[in-house]
Amino acid sequence: MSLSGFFKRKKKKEADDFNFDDEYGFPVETDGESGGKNSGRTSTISANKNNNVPCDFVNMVPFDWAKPIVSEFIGKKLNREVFKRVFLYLILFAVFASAYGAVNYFEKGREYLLDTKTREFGKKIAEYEAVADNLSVYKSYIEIPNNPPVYTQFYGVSFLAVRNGLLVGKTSYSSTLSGDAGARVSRDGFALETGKRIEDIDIRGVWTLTGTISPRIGSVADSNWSMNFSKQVNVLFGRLRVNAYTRVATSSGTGRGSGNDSDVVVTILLWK
Amino acid sequence: MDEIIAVSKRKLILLMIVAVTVISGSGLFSFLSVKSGFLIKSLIEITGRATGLEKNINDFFPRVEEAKRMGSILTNIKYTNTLTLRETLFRELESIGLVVSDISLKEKTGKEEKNKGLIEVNVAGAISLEKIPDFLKSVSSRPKIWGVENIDINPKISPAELVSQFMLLHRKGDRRGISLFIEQGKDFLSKENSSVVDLKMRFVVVGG
Repeated sequence: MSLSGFFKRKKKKEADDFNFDDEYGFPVETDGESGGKNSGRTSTISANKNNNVPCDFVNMVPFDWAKPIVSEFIGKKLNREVFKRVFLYLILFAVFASAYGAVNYFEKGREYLLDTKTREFGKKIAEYEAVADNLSVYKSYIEIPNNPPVYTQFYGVSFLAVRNGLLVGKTSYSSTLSGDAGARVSRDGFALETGKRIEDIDIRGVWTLTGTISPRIGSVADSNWSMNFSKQVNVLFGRLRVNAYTRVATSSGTGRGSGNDSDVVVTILLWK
Repeated sequence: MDEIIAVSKRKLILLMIVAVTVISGSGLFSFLSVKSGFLIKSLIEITGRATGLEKNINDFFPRVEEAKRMGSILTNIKYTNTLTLRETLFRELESIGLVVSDISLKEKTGKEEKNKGLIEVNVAGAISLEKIPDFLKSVSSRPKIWGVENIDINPKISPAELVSQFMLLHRKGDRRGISLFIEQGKDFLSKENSSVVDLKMRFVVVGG
């Protein structure tokens, strides 16, 4: 039962049975009297009921009687208000939580996407790194073969020896300038003639031809023969874009001690 | 009346707690959402950059594929089985005319990366003088990489030395010496090994 209904019913009851005070013998205020003295006259009540006590007829009902109804009414009203607000708050909470959930989901999605891409990049870069490593090794492998090939160099050197009447006995090839050949090539002379230091050049081959000059040529490796031979070496290997530096030493110069002036040691340094 | 007030108070307190909880929770969620929003913004930026990076990587891909293809080709230049390398080289050198007396293998040392997998081979043997050009041609055109570091071709009997000696005798006018030399020369040249040269060679191969 609602509180308003309750009051309506009370009012109706009051109208029907106005003089209930007499019946129940409640104290009634009379004119000129104060302090709650009961005279038992109902007519004085209706005349003074609205002077000091608002809704005094309600006061007449013991609160214990109305308590369950009031309590129920207030409880319901309060419950409604409280739960209404709680519900609104929960909706608000749910909205915020959903927003956070959506943002979080989106964030996770982006993170996953980025992770996937990063993993993919990492894999690709690792693969590229391996290929690059291999490439540097392959590059070093490519540098291993002689350039020009040994055969080409041999062919050129042999051709020039035959053409210039050099009967070759011992032939040596080295990819570096070392040993006897290194001693025969004057570093200062090389630097003076070429304008480069031996340490700064890319040596493509060092050929040492030990032999004797053919009698047809004159049996003597004179300066003319040496210059001519050197020039031909330069021209021939120049076609391969390889520079040549030639040194011709006679047996007396090499200390071989054969006693024959026609014996020579020719050292050809090919470089780029 | 007090009881009603107490109940109402309890409910109001509950409401307040719920309100505080909701406000706190909402605040927390708002804070986290904003924080995540900034993170998402950064993630979007990074993803955008990653897309650019991906494009660059993909642009580079054909070159990598080319390098891989080159690598697979270059793999064939290696001697994959180093355990049988000595025998393999022995057979290969014999097939190109060198009678091998000794082969020694040594791993090429050095801190440099370029020496990785390189094996230095020292060979001593003999070969016919006429076969030397073909031998050198074969050495220069091996299917597998050979880097020749050193070759010494030393004839057992050098025609050049014979000529030199003959010229010396001739210059001295030593007729007896000349006739003796010619006789000895005939003997030398009639021998089977007269045109054989000693050959020493050092080269580098790539091992597996």
